[in-house]
Amino acid sequence: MFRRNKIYSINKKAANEALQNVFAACEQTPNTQSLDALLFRNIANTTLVKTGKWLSIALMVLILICPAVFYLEGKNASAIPHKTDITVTGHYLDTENGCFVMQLSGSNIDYDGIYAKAEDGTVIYPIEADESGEVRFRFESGTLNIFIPDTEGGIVQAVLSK
Amino acid sequence: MADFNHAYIGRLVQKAQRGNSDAFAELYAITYQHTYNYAAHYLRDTNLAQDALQEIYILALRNITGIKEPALFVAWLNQICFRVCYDMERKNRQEYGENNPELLELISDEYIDHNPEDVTETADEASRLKEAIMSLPFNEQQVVVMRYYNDMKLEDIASALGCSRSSVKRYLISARERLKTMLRKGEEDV
Repeated sequence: MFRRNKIYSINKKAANEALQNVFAACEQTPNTQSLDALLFRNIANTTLVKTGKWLSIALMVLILICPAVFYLEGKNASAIPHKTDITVTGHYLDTENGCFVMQLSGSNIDYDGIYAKAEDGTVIYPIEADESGEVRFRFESGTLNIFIPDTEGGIVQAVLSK
Repeated sequence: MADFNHAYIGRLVQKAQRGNSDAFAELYAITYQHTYNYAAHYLRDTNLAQDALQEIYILALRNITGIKEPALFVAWLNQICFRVCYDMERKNRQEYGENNPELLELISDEYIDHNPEDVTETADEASRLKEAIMSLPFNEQQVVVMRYYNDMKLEDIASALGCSRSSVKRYLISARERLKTMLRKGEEDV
């Protein structure tokens, strides 16, 4: 059922000899390009090879323009450094209440996201942080790394040490 | 069937018609394996097939200026191929089956005596049959000759022509019907 029918083929040397005999019999100048070169051109001229060639070109163009697509997408992403206008306008130690108080100014301050890290890595959240710009941390001594984010991915870091 | 770019072949034929040997050589490069395969299947001898290959392309080169439709070069070459193989086969067969009993039985049971012992094929019947076969469309003509005169199997005919076995069967059925009609008409005329 799956028998493959025999296909006869002739080797290139014999084929070339036959061709030269044909030209001689017809008294015509033989070909100047070799049979190998002509056979290669025939293979290159097939639909399959042409389609493959155009697909390769399309793929290469796609690979070349890909980085540009990502660049345009990333323009608004946080991967590009974002400038923040958060500033610490004032600060003091409230020793009576065992707190550190800082006054912030700037647009888009994310007060809910403000936190600090103690020397041992413990995360400490402010006792108070609101739209007035005042932020209060429980602090008596040691070092506190304070992180003040904005709503656009920017962040300001302040270090308190006593 | 081999995948030929007929438009490209047509352009090569036009160049070859102007005497461009490289163009003819390229036509040869595109078609010689297909032609050789056909001849080898038909003649069942690879040496004869090589001789036939040369003969075919000599005829093609000598007559290429006569092609009216360059894009149909492959079909034209196939016709030359068939004629050369047919003539070569006739020369090399020890007894040429001018009168193929199997074919006659299949198509003309109205003309042959129903008593198999009395079957005598007249020269006239054989001549009409041969004439009828030669007037068939080319594809049908080829398969009838290969099947009934060369005793080729359907698979071998399909390999030679580069088509499917079912196409060969279809050509044979169609050829038989045409031959019956032609011979019946011929008998009425007589």
